[in-house]
Amino acid sequence: MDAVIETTNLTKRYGRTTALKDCSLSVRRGEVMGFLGPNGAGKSTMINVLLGFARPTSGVATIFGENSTRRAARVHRRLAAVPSDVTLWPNLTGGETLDLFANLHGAVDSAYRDLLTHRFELDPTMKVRAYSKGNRQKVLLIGALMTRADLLILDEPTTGLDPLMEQAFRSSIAEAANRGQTVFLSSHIMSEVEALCDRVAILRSGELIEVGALHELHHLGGRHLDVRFNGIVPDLSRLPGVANFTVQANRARFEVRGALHPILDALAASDVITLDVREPSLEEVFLEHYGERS
Amino acid sequence: MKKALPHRRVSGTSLIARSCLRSGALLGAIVGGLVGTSARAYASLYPTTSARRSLALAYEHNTAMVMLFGPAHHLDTVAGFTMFKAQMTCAILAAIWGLLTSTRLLRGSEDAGRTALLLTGSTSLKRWTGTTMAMFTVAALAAWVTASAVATVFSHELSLQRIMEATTILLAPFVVFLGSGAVASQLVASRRGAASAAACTLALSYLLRAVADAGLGLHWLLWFTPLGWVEQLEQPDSGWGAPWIAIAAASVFLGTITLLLSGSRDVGAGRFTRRTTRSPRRLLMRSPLAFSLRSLGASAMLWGVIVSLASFLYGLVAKSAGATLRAGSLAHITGGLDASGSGTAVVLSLTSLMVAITLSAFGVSQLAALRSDEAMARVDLVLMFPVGRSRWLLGRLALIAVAIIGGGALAGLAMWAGAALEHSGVSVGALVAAGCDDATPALALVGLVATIYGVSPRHTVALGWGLLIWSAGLVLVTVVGSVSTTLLATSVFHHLSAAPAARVNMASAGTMAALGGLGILLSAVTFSRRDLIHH
Ligand SMILES: Nc1ncnc2c1ncn2[C@@H]1O[C@H](COP(=O)(O)OP(=O)(O)OP(=O)(O)O)[C@@H](O)[C@H]1O
Ligand SMILES: [Mg+2]
Repeated sequence: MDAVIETTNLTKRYGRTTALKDCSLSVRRGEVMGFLGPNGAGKSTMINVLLGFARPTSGVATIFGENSTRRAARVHRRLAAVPSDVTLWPNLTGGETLDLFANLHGAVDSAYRDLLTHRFELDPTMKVRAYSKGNRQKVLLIGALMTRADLLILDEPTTGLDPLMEQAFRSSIAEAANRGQTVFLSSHIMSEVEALCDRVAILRSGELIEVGALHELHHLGGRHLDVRFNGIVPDLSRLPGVANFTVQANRARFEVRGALHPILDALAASDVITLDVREPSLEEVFLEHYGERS
Repeated sequence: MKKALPHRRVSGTSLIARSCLRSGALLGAIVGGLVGTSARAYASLYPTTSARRSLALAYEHNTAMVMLFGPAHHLDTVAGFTMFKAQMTCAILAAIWGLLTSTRLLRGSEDAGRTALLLTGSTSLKRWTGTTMAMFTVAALAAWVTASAVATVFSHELSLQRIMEATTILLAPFVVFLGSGAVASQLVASRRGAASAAACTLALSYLLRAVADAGLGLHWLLWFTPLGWVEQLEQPDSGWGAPWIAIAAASVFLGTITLLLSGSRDVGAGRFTRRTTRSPRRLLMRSPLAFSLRSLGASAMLWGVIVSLASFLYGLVAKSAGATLRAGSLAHITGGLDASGSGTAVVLSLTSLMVAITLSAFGVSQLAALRSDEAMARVDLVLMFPVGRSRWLLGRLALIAVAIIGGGALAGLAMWAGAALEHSGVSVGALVAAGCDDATPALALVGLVATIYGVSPRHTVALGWGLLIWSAGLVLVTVVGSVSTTLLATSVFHHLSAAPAARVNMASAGTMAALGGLGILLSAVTFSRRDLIHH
């Protein structure tokens, strides 16, 4: 039993809107999977189905081999979650909220809880109504992390966190991954996903359009080349795989998809001063994919 | 930047004006409708002079009726009857409307962060509050014009002058409680809190006037309650001056206090700002059920205090109120309740009906709170843990049911305590039984509304309150007029026995309790088979 989360042809419709269409996804034990997609792609819907809050229209989702809808309470013993758009109880303090979460979950690592409270600089004696947005998010994050659950399902967990806290979050997820916890992380922040995730799934309009290891995805976007010539810049725009070819004085910038050798052959014939090749960032891959929409 | 601000401010003001206009017109339509239909019903129900006279004889000196519905004057005239029938309903409705409107506009927009947005301009909180309160005159005017117009359309029995008099009187509580809600909005830092505080002043106001009308020689108490001022206005022979001065003075006073308070506080804060930090209180957090109890506890206690206080007061006056009941009037009063027995017992069974309605209102409010917890995705925060869905809901609903039964028993005890102080000779057993019996229609209603919640949560609030108003309305109308039995049968309160004036009907009580239980079970089953629905 290698897969922790397994969805098979998962479809979820809300009236006429199809929020998820035939999604088959598998998250392996111990991996950190990033879950990307533009607003309204269906990320939260997927997470709601996984948590048993929404029932799939068709298809199944299993977590630890058990049906995520029908055996929700049982499945939840081994997972912890940060759902999006929830409202905490304004009259409880942060600490009381964490106490409640601890009681509802069962056992938690209280030493780790204290460490997290310190790391995220949360004042647990303050009432939730007096917290800023970021501090409320921290309560949810600490609540999920302190359980040390086998599976963490996080829906845009760093909304409202400042860059320092973002770092704290990253080190906490790295710790979780080192302990062998599985993490399913929906996010809009590419650098976060790039820094943390082993694999990435990209959702668009309810459809999973890409699932793969991070380094595989990089190849989806073109490599960026920046070349300075001594003298005239040759026209490389017709070579196979070249796109966005721009020339500025003696400098050419362009992207290349697929094999590099036709380009290198062409360059060998010219007087090249400098050559810079860069892998695309996840952000560029993402923008390229969703740029296609317009 | 500079240019954009005045524009934003203007649109904010016009938004409030529109909201005031809508709210006032809606209230006016209801009040006008009630006035118009009452006048028309009177003309058709009591067409002859002799019929009108006997009605007047039966009601005018009936303390129980006066305590519950306010004094009756000149019941042999259309205007007199209309005022009698519409006064308490309209006055309370207008008051609630007023306090909800002002807390919504003054505190609700602050809760939602809109006020802070508006105040980024040059407006101060004080000026903004002043502008909003100035718009309240739009609401009052809209209510008055609409009410008069609607009443005129509905009835030809009343002259326009009479109608305008009536609507002016009936809408006076709207103005006073707009003010009361405005002050509460300055003191309490949340809309719900402010509305509750203002509602408490209304409850107190109603109780005071009920005691004043109980025939205990405490008539002067009327001067200490806005609803009392309205009552004074209805006495055609007493001068109009003093009560109007009281109403105007109170409104101006409340408005001034509001302005002063708003000038000395921060946006989003209240006068009684609670401390923002505290050492942890871990009571009632061990399990989902315990936590449900924690959420229910405070409001259950508040409702419990209100219902037992009211029951106690009514118990206290039951004997003297019952003594004035005449044999002939019993049929009228208890037509819908099917009671016989002593006057005291009849008054107590009317009180018992009020207890049943209050317990039902508590139940509906708790289901509305449940729905709001789901809409705000608070339910998710519990259900993301290893907590069974149907078990969790079952627990929460069971707690509501237990609170209702407990509230009924408490009300029965309080009624007995009041009655016993006056040596009314009603046994504690009979009254506690009546109190528990009062819980059964509330349970049936909770079962029904819970099922609605299980199937279609978005409709819980509207249908829940709608069913309650429908049920209570039908039965209360039977106290004054007549309603067809088939229609009446749709009201849960119609199936409540008139204990202690009649024996508790075990079959009907059992059926209602069982329906309640069934509804709760059904709710738990359907809830576990649907999506959680936010917003
Ligand atoms: N309860 C609902 N009823 C109707 N439509 C819904 C509901 N929940 C989601 N949708 C629709 O399903 C689609 C997916 O929404 P979802 O919230 O899953 O997107 P998301 O990827 O989480 O977006 P975001 O990045 O903004 O959080 C949207 O088109 C949304 O309008
Ligand atoms: Mg989302």
